[in-house]
Amino acid sequence: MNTPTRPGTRLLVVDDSKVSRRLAISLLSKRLPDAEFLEAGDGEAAVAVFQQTPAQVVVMDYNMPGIHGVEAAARIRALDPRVTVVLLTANGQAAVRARAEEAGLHMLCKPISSTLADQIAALAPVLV
Amino acid sequence: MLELDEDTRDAIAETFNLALGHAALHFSELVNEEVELSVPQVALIPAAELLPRIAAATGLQDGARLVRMAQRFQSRQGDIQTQALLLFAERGCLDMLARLLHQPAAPQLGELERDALGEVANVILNSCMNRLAEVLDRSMTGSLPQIGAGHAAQLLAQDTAAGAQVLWAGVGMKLADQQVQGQVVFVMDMDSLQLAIHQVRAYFGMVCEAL
Repeated sequence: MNTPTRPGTRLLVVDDSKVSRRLAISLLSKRLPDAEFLEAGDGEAAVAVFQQTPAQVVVMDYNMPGIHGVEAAARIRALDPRVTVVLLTANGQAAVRARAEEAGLHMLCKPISSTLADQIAALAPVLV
Repeated sequence: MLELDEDTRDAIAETFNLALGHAALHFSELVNEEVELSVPQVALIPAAELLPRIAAATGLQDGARLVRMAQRFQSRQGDIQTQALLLFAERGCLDMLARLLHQPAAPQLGELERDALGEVANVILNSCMNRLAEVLDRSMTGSLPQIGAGHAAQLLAQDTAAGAQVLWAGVGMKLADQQVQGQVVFVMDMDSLQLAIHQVRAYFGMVCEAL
C-alpha cells in the first residue's frame, strides 16, 4: 500500500550491512514513494548525517561497529526529541527489548520483510 | 581460488547476524542473562589460518585450553554440508557452566559439565542453523554435538587439516555479567560453499524482487 507522506518527509536508514540498507530502502520506498531516504553505515555516521539533514524517522540497526543502536538513537534524540526511532535487530533478547523500551524506541525484529516495512511505514508522518 | 566481493561478504555477514541473533535469544533464555554479540566477521581463508583467527577472536594465549563443540549439518539433498563449531576458552566455559548448574566451578569437564555443554551447543548451533536453513532454502539435519576440550592446536587439528579454503564466519558471544567469550565458526567445503553463497545472494535478491 502506498502512503502519501508530508512533503519533506525523510527517513534515515542506519545499518552496517549495505545489503540490509538497500533492502530496507527498496521496500520502504515502495510504501512511501514521496519520502526521501538517507543512509548511514554506523551509529556515529548516523548522528553526523542527522545533524546535517534531520529526518522524521530513523530506522536503526542495533548491533553495529562502534556505538550500538540505542546509544546512537539517544544522541539523535538529544538533537531532536521529536524524531521517531525504530530499532531494528536480529537480537530480540529481553535485555535489548528493555533497553529499547526505556529509551522510548519502537523495536522490530529482523529479517527485513514486507511485513516489517509495513510496520515501519505506518510510523512515518502522513498527509492528513 | 574463490573470492568474495564486498556485497557478497556483506550479505553473508548479515545472514550470520540474523542466525546468531536468533541463537542468542534462545541462549539468553537458557542462562537467564544477556548475551552480547559481536559484529560478524566473514572471510574465505585457508583452513590452516583457522587457529590463529580463533586464538585472536577468543583472546587465547599460546598453549591455552579450549572447549570445542561441533555439529555437522547436511542438507536433505546432500548438496550443502557444514561443520558448525562453538568455541570457548576452557576457564571461562567452566565458570559459565558453574553458573548454569548452580555449583562451584569444576577444575575440568566432567560428565555433568559435558552433558550441560551438549545442551548449550544444541540450543546455540541448532537455533543458528534453523535461521541459516531459511536463507539457504534447504532443510538441514544435524549430528549430535561432539564435545572436546584440550590445547587449541590439538583440538582444532581436524578442522584445519582440510587443506582447502574455508568460510570463516566468526561471531563472538559474551555473557554480559561474566568474562566468558565464545566464538561460532562455520567450516564448509568448496562445493557447499559455492552453493551456499549462491543461495545467500538469491535470498537477498529474491526478497527485493518479490516485493
